Amino acid sequence: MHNREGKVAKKEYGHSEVEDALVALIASTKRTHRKLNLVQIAEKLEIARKGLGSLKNVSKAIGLSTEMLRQFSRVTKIAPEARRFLSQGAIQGVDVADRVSRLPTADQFSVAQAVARGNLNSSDVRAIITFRKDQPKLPISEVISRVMNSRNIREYVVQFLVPAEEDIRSIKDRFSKLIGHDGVRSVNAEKGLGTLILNKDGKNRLELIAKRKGLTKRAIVERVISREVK
Amino acid sequence: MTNEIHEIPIDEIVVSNWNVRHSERDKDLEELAASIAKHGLLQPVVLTGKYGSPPYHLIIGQRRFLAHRDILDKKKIRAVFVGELNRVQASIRSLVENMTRTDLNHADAAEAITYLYKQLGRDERRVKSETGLSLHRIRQYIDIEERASRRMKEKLRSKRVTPVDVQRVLSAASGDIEKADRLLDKMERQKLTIYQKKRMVEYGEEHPRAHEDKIIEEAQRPIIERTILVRLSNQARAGLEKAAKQLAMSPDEVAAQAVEDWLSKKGFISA
Repeated sequence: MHNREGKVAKKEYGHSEVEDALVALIASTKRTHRKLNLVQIAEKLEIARKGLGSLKNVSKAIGLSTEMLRQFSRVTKIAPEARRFLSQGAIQGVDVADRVSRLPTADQFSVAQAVARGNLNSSDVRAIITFRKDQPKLPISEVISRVMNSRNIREYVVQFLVPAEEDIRSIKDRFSKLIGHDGVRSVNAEKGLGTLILNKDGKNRLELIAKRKGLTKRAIVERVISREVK
Repeated sequence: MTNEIHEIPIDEIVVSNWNVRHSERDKDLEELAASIAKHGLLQPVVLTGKYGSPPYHLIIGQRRFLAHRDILDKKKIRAVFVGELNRVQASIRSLVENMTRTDLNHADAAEAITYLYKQLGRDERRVKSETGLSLHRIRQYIDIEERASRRMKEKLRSKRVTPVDVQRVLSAASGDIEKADRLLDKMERQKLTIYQKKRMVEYGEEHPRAHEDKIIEEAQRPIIERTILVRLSNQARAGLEKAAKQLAMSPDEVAAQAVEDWLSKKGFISA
């Protein structure tokens, strides 16, 4: 909107709009399960900031640090195509969003996409930011891949007693069927003691199944062995 | 400091040795001169001494002064006076001015902060209250000034390496400065990620006699981190969650700590 002098007019918000924004911020910034996505929170924050005059005043009003609020407001610095992942709820962590906003605009989409797919976490994005400074000419796909390949390898180990009548290959097949071949690193047995090793994907899938069935991961493993879960 | 602004002849001013900026004095000087030519000098330079008793020593505004003298060929510059200052007071003023307004070179800042630290009774908190810098930054500057080699400081001056990287190689080399220099060279060439740099420090500290090539090789090798899933009673699970909440740690960290403590207490691992 432009005024007579041709300058962009600042939008003014009414008292109730500011109040609504503050309520929405209280409901959505302090909890893990937020009603609003990060882009909506940033929009509400902008209304509250304009209404109260500064982030410091918003901080006092809702009891959240200015540093945290600055993280939420930095979401607006993310390029629109990358911001899509935030508005869709595929990226929910404000720390990771803040870190994505610190990348060059051209890199943001690829990194946000990898985060949304679960391939990168907040620490990885931090590692990408510093590696990018060292390697400004490398394609972003190469930067992401170099960081991913340099991470420590995470494995998840479950030990269990192998029932006398059971064959370890059959147990392995059941886990592979449930979790997927690519999630199971190995299943071995020695003197009746079985060891199941999962990679991160396998552990995530096991977690998901456990959640759906209202059980712990460990309980799911035991039910697979006893053939209660197939 | 008096607020009165004077037009001072350029040839009556000398740059004080107490001005903390020793590097990049000429960086972007042409741009600064162009800006002054277009808009004038917005902020006067700061001189010590008393107006009317030249020569005057410049403690703040060295680049503005150089732009006037060397590029714009001006005969006078606008200045204010702060009276007589001792070296500590002058260093503080110059440091604070440079650190808040521009990106002061790390090596220059480290030298100035370490000087202040020594003059202020080796009290980091006094340096903090005088400069407004965080204790973490003050410690980093002092650490690098005291431990880094001349080559490392040159690399910092030319911004080829970061202060954190210098601290990393110093830790990885376990105090061997020459080895740290060689490690830094290799780190620059290999372009390591943060994860690899962390492993470099871990391996170097655990193996103080390891050759730098071996340290870099191990840094590039990912470590397998195994998480063991165990079955806990409901009571133990509730306790774990309670401890995690109270100690602000993740349940995994609490469990790992508890297991280590138990094993150590029972003599299964050495403390």
